[in-house]
This record gives sequence, structure tokens and C-alpha cells, in this order.
Amino acid sequence: MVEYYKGGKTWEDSVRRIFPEFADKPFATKTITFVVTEQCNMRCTYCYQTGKNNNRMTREVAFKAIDTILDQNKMGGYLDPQETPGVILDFIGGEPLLEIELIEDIVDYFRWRAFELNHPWLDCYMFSFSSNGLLYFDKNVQRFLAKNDGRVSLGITIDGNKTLHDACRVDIAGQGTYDRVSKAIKDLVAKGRLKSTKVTIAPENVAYVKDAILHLFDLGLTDIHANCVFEEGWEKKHARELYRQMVALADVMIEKKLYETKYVSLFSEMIGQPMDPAENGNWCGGDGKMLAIGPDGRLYPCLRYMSYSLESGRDPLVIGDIECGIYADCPELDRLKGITRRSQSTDECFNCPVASGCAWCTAYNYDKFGDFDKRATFICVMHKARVLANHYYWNKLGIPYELHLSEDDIAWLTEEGDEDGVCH
Amino acid sequence: MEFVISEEHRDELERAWYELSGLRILAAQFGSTSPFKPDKERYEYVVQKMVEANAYYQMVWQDILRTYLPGENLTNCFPVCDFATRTVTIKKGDEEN
Repeated sequence: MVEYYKGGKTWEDSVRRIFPEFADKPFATKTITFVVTEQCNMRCTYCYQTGKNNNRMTREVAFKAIDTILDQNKMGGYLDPQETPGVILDFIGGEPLLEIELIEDIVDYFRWRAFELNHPWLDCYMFSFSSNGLLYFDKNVQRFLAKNDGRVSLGITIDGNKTLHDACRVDIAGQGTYDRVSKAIKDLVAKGRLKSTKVTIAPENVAYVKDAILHLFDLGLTDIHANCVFEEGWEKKHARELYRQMVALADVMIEKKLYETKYVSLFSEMIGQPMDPAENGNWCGGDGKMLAIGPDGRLYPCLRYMSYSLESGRDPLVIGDIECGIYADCPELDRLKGITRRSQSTDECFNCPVASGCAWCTAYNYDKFGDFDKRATFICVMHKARVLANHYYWNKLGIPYELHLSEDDIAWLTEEGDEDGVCH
Repeated sequence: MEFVISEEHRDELERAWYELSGLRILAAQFGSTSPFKPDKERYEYVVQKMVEANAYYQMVWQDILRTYLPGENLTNCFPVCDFATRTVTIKKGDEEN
């Protein structure tokens, strides 16, 4: 049997391993997202945060938020350190590094209060950032990273090579940001602080996927988490392009034996299989598994329920605030917890022969349809392309992979004629 | 010099390191000019815990080195472990930086 690299472990995996007493917990860690600013120093073309503005979290709000999340009486079981012994304080924006001094105060305050309260999270915490990397070399950012070494996970988004990245990820002036961001990535890789990145695939950049991922390997990254955006806009021509890109990538991965040391989440033996009706959970964490705190101190199940993320103009979904904590009477929260794969899917989706690995975003469903229990399926064609490419990859690698796509789907996915018609 | 340690040794070492590094960060914060720190007595308690955690961390290392490199003279050397691959690299003192 061919041995292949399955990707690095998450911090939650590490927590379960080094603290075996946590192994039986459903969630060893829970993520609390602080939206420290709604402003960004970039204007990515595919960004779902369409309402960028100058709202920022004050210190007063941030400290009150820490007091509240450490107070079991106010969290109503939503956050329970006995059930989730580890916590990730996640800082996001906009661009979170715009507020690095505030973040430094938040983490110092968190440690002090957790110490004073003898709170379990003092022994098991991590800080994470999702950054665009433009401010990485700022002296305050570097000081923060040094001070919290070993407790920071800094993710910098890069969409691949210069062409792909600059196609979508531009600064406020509309200039590509690749040169600045890749410099930050190289520094993090050299210091052993970064092995993975995520690649967001949108209609504008799908034609560059292969070159992008190979380029990220050249930068020293080993784990690439790539996914298609959930939003409307995908067409069959994009799916055909993704299939062609993944087949070409598969050829290189196998020819150069990159599969031994490199991981691309697009390739997975687990996807594209029928799912047992009993596998009925809600894959998305935006149904009560996460918590986001807005600059105004209101609490949300995920930052994608906040106004600046909702493209439709719908009301934000608020489940609490920093004064009261989680609202005791919150019917929306009860509904969120009741979402299943069955409840949100049509019969066609639920019984799809290639259902496994097909993703959704509960908050996007709310944004699109006004109902978080109705599943958007715009990525269906892209999922099918991914499945067909996986069939090619695993079988070429000598690992059996059963293909459950219909003849019709295979026919349109392999149709020729638009090879040069997408995104160039 | 490189060698791979067992999962059990890796887990014990990583846990010891994790606890020590957390206490180091806490002691640095509480000993700094940060406004977010306890009184002097409780700060000294953290420092004492850090000293104990450091002693335990060194003890775990000694056990690992005795197991994998019995009889080796490791004066002026220090080991580094990549927890993901369980690979220990022994570096000379002048390679530290």
C-alpha cells in the first residue's frame, strides 16, 4: 500500500494527545472569535465581509467580554471549561493586526483574570489570527509573537503564485499584495512557525489552482487547505476547470512523489461517497459550537452572522451580549442547535451518491435565504469536479477509490471546448 | 545528531514543555510593567511554579537522553525536539543561535 502524508495535526489534536484526560470530550477546545475591527487594509474581490467600516472594539468592551466568557453563570452552558478544557482566542477583522496593541492588552488581561479565578483555561489556551500578512513585520506584531511564543497560531492567507494571489487579493489602492505577503510567509516558515495555509478558490482564480498550490510548496509550506467559496456564481465551466487543474496537480504530485511529504485538502479518500442517513450532524460550526464577539459587545454564533458579513442586509443574529452573557430566552439559538444534515437538505442532496465531503455554511444559508436551515448548493458542481479528480488521483496512486458520480455528471465534467475560456 | 523518540516520550516531553512555556509567559507578564498582574506574593508563587516546571522538564529530557544515547558525553550540547515528527536533534552550544 502506498504511504502518503495526511497533513499535520490541529491544536485540538495535540491537546487530546498531551492531556489524555481530555480525550473523551466531544470538543477538547472551543474557539472564541474577537472581531477587533471591521476595517481592513485590503480589498479582496471575493471577500464576504462586504460592509467594511471603522467600527473597532474598545478596551472596555474587550475586558468586559473576557470577564463574561470566564463567568459560567453568564454563559449558560454555551462555554463550559469542564466540557471544553482548551480555549482558542481567535482574533479576526477586517484585518486583526491593525489592532495589535489592543490584542496584546486582551491576552494579558485574559491571562491575569484566568490566573486570579484559577480558571482551567489558564493551562490550556492558544491565540490565533487570520491575517493578510501586510503588517507582519510591524515591530509591535513582532514583539507580540516573541512574547507569546508557543501560544500563537498565525495564519497568513496567500492564494498561491503571484498571478493567482494578485488576481483577487489587492490592497486599498487596488495593487497586488503578493510580494509583501510572500515575504512574511517565508519569514514564518524559516522560523518554523508556519507549515500550512488556506487557499480560497473563487470563479476568478480557479484557473490557477495547480500552479498556486505548487508555488506554496516551493515557499516551504507543506499543508494546503483549499476550498471553494460557498457563494453564488459557480458554473459548469468553472467545475470543468477545477477538474483539469486537479488532474494536472495530481500528475505532478505523483510524478515528483510530493504525496509523501505534502498535503492538499482537495485530495481526500473520504470524499465523494454516499452517506449513511444516520450521519446526520451539522458539519458547520456556526450552529452553536463557536462564539464570536463583535466590536459592540454583542455575541454571535459565528462572525458571519454579523452585519458586516451579511450581504443581504438581513438582521444580524445576536445570541447575547457582554453584560448579560448568552440570552436565556433565545429561540434562534435553539433552532440553530436543531439543524441537521437532514433538516437543511433536499432529498436530492441528502441522498446524493457523492455526499461525503460536500460542505455548507449555516450563516451563508441564513444570509442567502433568510433561513439557516435551508442549504445553499451553489458549490455542487465544484464538489462533483473534486470527486472526479479524486478518482483520478487515488487510482493513479494505486489506492482504490470508488466513483459514484452519474454518467451524465462525468460526461459534462469531461466535456472539452472551454479550456481557455475561464478567468484568463 | 538526530534520532526519533517514542510517542510516549514525545507526549511526556511536549506536556512538560507546554506547562513550562505557559508559566514562563505568565511570569514574564507578571514581572513586567503590565497593569494586568497580581500582587507580589502571588507573582512569586508563579515564579516558584515555573522553577519546579523547569526542573521537571529537564528531568524528562535526561530520561530521554539516557534511553536513546546511553553513555554519550553531551556536555555543552542541547537537544531540540520536533514534536510533529518526534525527531530529536542534538546541537552543540555554539549552534544555538
